[in-house]
Amino acid sequence: MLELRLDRVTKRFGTKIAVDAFDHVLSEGVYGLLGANGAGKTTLMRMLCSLLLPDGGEIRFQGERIGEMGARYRRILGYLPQEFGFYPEFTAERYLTYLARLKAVPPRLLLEKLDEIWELTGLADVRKQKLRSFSGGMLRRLGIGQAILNDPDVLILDEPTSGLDPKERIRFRNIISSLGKDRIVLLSTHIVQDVEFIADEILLLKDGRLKASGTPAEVMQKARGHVWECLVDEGWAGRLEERWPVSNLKTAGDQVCLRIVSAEKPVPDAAACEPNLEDAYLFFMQEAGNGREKQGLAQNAPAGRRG
Amino acid sequence: MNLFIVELQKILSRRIVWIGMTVIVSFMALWVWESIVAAEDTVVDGVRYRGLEAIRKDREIARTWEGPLTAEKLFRILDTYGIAGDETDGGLVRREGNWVSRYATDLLTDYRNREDPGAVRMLSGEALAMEEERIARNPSYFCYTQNMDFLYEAAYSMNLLLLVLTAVVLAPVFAQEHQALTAPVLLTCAKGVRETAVSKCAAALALAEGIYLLANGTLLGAYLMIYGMDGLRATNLCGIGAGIGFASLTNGQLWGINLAWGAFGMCLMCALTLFFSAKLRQSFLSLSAALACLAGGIASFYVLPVLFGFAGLRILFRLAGMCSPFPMMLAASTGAAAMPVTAGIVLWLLISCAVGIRRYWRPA
Ligand SMILES: Nc1ncnc2c1ncn2[C@@H]1O[C@H](COP(=O)(O)OP(=O)(O)OP(=O)(O)O)[C@@H](O)[C@H]1O
Ligand SMILES: [Mg+2]
Repeated sequence: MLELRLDRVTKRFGTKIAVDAFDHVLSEGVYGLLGANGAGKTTLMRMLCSLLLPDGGEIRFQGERIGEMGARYRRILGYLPQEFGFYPEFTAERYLTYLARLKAVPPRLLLEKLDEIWELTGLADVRKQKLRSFSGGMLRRLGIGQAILNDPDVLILDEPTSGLDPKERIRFRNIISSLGKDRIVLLSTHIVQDVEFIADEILLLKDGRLKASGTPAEVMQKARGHVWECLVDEGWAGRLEERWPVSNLKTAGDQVCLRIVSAEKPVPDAAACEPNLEDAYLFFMQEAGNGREKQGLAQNAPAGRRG
Repeated sequence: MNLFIVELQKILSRRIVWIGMTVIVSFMALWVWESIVAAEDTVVDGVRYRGLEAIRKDREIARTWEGPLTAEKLFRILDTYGIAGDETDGGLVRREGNWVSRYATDLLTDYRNREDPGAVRMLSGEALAMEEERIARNPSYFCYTQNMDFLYEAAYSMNLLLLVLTAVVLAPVFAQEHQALTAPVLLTCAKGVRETAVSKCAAALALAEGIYLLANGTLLGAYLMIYGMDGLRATNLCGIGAGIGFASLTNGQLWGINLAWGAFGMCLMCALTLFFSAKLRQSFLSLSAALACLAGGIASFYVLPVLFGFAGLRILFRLAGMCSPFPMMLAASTGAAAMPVTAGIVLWLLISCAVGIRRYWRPA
């Protein structure tokens, strides 16, 4: 049984509080960290990797402070940074061999391990190529490959699927899901569907604070009664959009079908409907906000996907 | 996979290393050939020889006079070959005589500071007595040391360039990992922290010292091939260097000391650059800081004595001298007593740098 305990973890940059008294206990499973740009996801993950020191609170792995564990903690840690730097002159094979050496992968297991990674990342054909010739998506896959090279107990993936084509994204989603069986996987993303299907638990982060957590079903449940659908003309649609977060908008003739997240019924003939994860996300993001706040996710969502 | 080799390759993969080395080597080679070898000439039995042939003739003659230097020997040299003044040949002024007679002329006549360029007169009276006394006071071993002083100068200039090259080449060692965003992955690997830092330091030091030894070896080797080994036996630069200290040491021993001293200076430069690279996490800033230290060291070597006089600042001068690889004069001017204290301070500086390198992995 693994346990990574975050106890009122806080990080400030100057006057800006990037992560604010974050409390949570992580154990085996996949955790999806959702939050807008600047919500503090990367900052939180960097603290979990001991790259940043919390200004307050502490992080313990199996009861021990990670800062004091040093190399022992790094040995069970895998990390994919949001911005993944590489050595352009290295070939993929050389890069992974180098990291395997740094991660203290036993030499006798190296070849086997590398084959496994090539298989997993689908980079077998280009392993002899220099990294400078790699596309963004290929680098992302290599990045995930290096993160799991040492079979980590704690796997931290900062936007692992960004830049991947849809097919690869789905493939990696499944891979990550399978990785979560016997280890702690924490991944951040902007793409709600990515976590909806694979996360055992979702952590919603806003302005450095944990707004909600739970299984996707639980999180969606909490937004129940706050999601409405209505058919209005275009003028109205504009006004409603200004007032409430709109999780979806679809034009039907000269009318517009709106999906609105709101505590009260936005228009008399609006019908309550079952929230999906995007609705729930918007619900939690606008809560305690000014109602007109619309965070990145809604705009990222393909329009009309769920008419 | 050997981490030391990987780190070495990371450094060597930057083109600046090779460009810098090539520039320095070609510059030195050109300089040595143009201003030294091509300019050699000597007159033996009325025949003027040039270049390598002139050197061979001079060496042969000097061999017959090798041994302790006395005023009496210098007089005998002048008796044998005559005073070596200047001759004018179609507007071109050239020196008469051979290396040995020119040497004696420089010491026993007013050739160097004569008013009338035509006539060279023997020293006499008080001036001669002073020169004789100086020679007697600084016993030296005389042999062919043509351009040995130039060799010291050339080594000094070259090593200054090498110090700059060291800063340029090593400034990115830690900083680049942060700048290229490769550090987060390295720093979350079991052996990505101390082991990596140690490998980086080892690779950096090995490279800097390797380049240093190679360059100095080449320069000294070139000198010895051109001028022969005779000069290494001389002491006191055959009297010219009298008064600069280390009077009893031969040129060979002096070179050994200077090489070691310079290697130490190189090590300090290495440590400073790596420290800044780890602390500032920015290649260009680290380079600027390291070069500022070097410039400060060299400047204080020239400026502080003028500002404060020598006496009270021996240690400072010595420290400054650590940055200049050939601090012969410095050693002489501050005296051996300051040596242990200096060594202590330098050692402390080295250790602080080594400790400071931990900033590379210190969490923000
Ligand atoms: N090194 C830093 N210095 C100053 N402020 C920082 C630093 N790193 C992050 N911040 C600030 O902290 C806040 C959280 O940033 P963080 O990168 O953790 O957000 P994020 O959730 O990862 O965003 P994104 O989705 O864009 O990656 C932001 O307001 C950011 O400006
Ligand atoms: Mg981020």
